[in-house]
Amino acid sequence: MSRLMMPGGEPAVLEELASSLEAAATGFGGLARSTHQVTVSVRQGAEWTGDAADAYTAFTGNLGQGVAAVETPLSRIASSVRDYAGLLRTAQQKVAAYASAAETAEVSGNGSAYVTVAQGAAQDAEAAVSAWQAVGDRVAAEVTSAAGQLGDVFGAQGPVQNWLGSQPVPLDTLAGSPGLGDPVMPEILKTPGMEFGPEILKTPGAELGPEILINLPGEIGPEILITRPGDLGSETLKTPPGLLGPLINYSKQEEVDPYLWRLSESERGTLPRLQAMFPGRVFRVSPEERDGEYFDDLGRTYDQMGDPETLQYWNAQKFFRSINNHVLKSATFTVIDLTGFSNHVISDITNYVNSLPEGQRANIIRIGF
Amino acid sequence: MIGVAVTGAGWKGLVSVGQGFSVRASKLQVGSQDVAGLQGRCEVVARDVVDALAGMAGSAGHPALASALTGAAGQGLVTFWAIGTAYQHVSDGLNASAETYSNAERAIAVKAGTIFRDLR
Repeated sequence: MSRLMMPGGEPAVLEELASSLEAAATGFGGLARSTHQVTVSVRQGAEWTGDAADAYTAFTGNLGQGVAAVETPLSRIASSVRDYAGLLRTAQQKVAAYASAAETAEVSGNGSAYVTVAQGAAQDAEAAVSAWQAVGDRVAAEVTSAAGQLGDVFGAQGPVQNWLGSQPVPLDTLAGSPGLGDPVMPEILKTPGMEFGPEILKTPGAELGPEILINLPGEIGPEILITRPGDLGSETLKTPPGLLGPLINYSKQEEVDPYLWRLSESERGTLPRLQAMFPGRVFRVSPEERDGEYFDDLGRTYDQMGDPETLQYWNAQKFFRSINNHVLKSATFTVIDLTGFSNHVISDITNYVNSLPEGQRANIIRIGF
Repeated sequence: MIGVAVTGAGWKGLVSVGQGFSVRASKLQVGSQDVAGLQGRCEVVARDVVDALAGMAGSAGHPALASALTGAAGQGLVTFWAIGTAYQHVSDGLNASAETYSNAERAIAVKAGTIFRDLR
């Protein structure tokens, strides 16, 4: 039988949030119309003429266009996420159906009719999971594209953009703290989380310069802190409850896995070795421990074991039991990394692994043997 | 036209100076409040957008999509900050202009009064 993973995610929540986003997008459309009406009527009501009045009209016209331009990318994101949610639901249903069919087949003593049904369900589920993964990648690209559109609502040479570019950069209190990097450069600091979602702190481009703290929604409750428009004074930064990990300075690296902090030292050490062993794959840190420490670009999961620190109180039988437990877990592969282990211990472990059934050995990746 | 006229039937408060400008300063003052109202509306909708995007990231179940949505939430905050700041600039500008024009109007009225008193 296939080893299919149930896709994570909450389609109903995504659909609800897509509706909220669509409503907000429409709200920006309405705000743009109101902006035009209000700003035009202000000038007309004041019978305002002259250079200052003309500059006002140019600025507010550009502002209204910028507000109107927000609607389209937000609608694009909402629509794409809604499509994604539908395929996610289907994939989850198909995997659940397969799990049920497989269980029925097992209970029946693997009667051929039941096994045939389970195999059909497995094929359906695999197809649905593949479709889900593909649409997830496509929607991610669509969201990134829409975000780019969202970042250019005023146009490069409009009066609003020109004015924003001339504004002083607010004091970046955190980026100026010792040990947190060069305060001149934009910083992106993240405290990733798990169930509660990552906390993201960004100091975007120097021309704008606000500090933004986003705490993704979770049971603890979201907090969003932004330097209020026009407030160029000192900023207040909150540390929300439930801080789940250390701040990682993302500005110093081209790419840092957002969940790297989850890994122990030995697990962190194994990741580049695994990547070197399979250069054609892309390995990332799993957001949750449930499915192992890493996953690859094909969605396969990897459970790591092997920590040289355990040599201080080495117990071979305990390690062998641990191997057994790992190969029985739901991860696609078990990665045994013996880098730093003594030759004697490596020899014992090699012999033990070689004694395992072929099916289990096939799912073990050996590093440092 | 050279000179100013600051009072008169039906156009009290309208200042007109040569080929420069004309304006009813009190209307700009009211307009400043109207634009501040738009800014407040913008902040409410922006908050909804960021909440929705961040919530989507947390519920996506797909690492690449979650990352893209998180990025969109961050970009949204930057854009909404810029929009809010622009509204504030307009509101402040109208308020400051109203005050400047009113001061100019008062100064002109005082000066004109002095001139005409001297002529009596």
